[in-house]
Amino acid sequence: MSVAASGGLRRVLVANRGEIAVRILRACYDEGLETVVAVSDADRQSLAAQLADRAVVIGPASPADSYLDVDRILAAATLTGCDAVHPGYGFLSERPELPAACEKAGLVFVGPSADAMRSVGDKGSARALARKLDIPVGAGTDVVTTEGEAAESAAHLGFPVLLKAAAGGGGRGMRRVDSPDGLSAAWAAAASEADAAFGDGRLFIERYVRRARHVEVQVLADRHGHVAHLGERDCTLQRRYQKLVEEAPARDVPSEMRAAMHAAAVRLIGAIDYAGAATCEFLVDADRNTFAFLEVNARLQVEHPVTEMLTGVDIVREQLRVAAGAPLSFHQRDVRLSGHAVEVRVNAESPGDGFLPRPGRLTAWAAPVGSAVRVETACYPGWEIPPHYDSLLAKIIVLGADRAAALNRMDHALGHLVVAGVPTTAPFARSLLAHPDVRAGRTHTTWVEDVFLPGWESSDVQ
Amino acid sequence: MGLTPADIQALLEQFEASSWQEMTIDIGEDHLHVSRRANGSAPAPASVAAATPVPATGPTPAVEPALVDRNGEASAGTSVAARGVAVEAPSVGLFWRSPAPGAPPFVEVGSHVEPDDTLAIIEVMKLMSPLKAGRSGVVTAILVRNGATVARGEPLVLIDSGP
Repeated sequence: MSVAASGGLRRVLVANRGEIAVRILRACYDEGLETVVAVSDADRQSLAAQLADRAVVIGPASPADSYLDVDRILAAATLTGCDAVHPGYGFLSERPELPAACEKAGLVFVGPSADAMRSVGDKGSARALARKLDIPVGAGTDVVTTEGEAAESAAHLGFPVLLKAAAGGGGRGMRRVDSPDGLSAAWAAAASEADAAFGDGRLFIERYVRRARHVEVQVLADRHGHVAHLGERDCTLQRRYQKLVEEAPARDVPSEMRAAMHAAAVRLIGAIDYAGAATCEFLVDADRNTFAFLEVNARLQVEHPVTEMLTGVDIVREQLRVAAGAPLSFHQRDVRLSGHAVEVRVNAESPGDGFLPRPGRLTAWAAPVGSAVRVETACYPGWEIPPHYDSLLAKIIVLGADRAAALNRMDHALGHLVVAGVPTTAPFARSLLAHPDVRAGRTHTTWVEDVFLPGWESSDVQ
Repeated sequence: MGLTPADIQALLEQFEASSWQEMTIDIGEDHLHVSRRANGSAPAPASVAAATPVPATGPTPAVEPALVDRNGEASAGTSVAARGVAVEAPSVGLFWRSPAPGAPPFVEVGSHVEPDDTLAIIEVMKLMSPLKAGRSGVVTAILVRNGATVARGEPLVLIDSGP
């Protein structure tokens, strides 16, 4: 039974933009829900604005005055008669002020309660919770308030260390520091970046693990006591902490370790009063064959389609069901993890120019198609890509019987992407996925910068 | 008594600090018109015209002054811009004068800068890049308002490196 048919919800405000707004609109449609999308001045012509039942302009292009303004989002929802708000990812999706304000206004927030969000959204308290549940946690500090305290903690942990935003995600407000000399500048840069991105400049420090792999577990929880995982995703291929490629399942992680991570994620989310989608991130130390809990993302994740391709579970529809008070549509025993799914993020960037973001007008756009190829995008020919937001143009996701088949299919799909007007990272991604180390799974989170880019930048393939 | 270069600089600073889009001042025979707009709504270099000639002794001004006569019509006349060489936008993006909202600006008109000094931040799709002065000298004009969307190659800041 759909959410609309169950009578739980009727009309959803999509408080986001770009491809994820389009993705949420589709899930709402599938659940029989009406949609309103909140757009900034710069997004009046967006695909989401065209596809939604209604679009409302909530403010100027600057995110602080539109997508990051709780009052404007609330006003848009109430004035258009919405009964629920879906925050997507980024923007206000991990700010407890939004669910708190929704609750006060009698709106359903599609996500966890403000309290649940606080208890896992702050990385310090999430680590404390994990420790209490006997989940391995990497060496690091709780929130550090002064540079002096940071220097002391970093010396205690041993360089290199990683400065991370307490409120963060997406690599914003993150800096690797190799020696005491670099701490001061990195501290200032990370704090101001975190403040600009999340409105919260608090930082904490972790010991930096060399040759680490990033593995995360997708969890869904409802208000009827069900907590289920949908397996893990491997997001090891990154550049400056920005994920480039995600895949599932994780390659070459021993099955006991995978099972232990799945169980840890379910235990962690089950320990709090949590409803909706959550992702538990882990760092896998390839040298020591251990894993450590990193953080919980209390929201939908950019790379959620990888898991959807693998399991057939529609995570966004499940989010809407849970928000409407319905139970999850599946049980843990129903979840089948078969085959291999890969996602590539196609960004409007010039890889040959230090990955400089390049907004502009898309003069041509044709996405690949196919039975095991999925494209999540807000692009259309003629769209003027605004400079105010991130550079993600599309996510291309493929499914294969095994990893090699999936990678081959991805190469084919990327080769059929037609884009003109702005440079994209698609050709770069093809070279990356063709590299023998990627094919063999011999990569870690800084492999792209340490190994791949130096060779690629000097070649003429680009 | 006419407007001196120091007067013009002081007026430009007042204008820059204000939220005004345009400013016109007539003192005696002198006419000063400053605008943040070119033709239309796109942010563009402020144009400065004064009837009092100020000899351009530095490098050729990179910004063409709007020439405005007493009747407010464009004309070829003895007008000049704030002098200096323009530092241009390396790419399309947003122009930020401070390292963070509410923080003091990197530079003001009158600031002395060295080549490696940061004049502003250009934000493109959430990537923040410092705009470096590239030369030493005195900032004589900041041509776009804080937060404006700028085009690639658009003149942003004038720096006078002297004779």
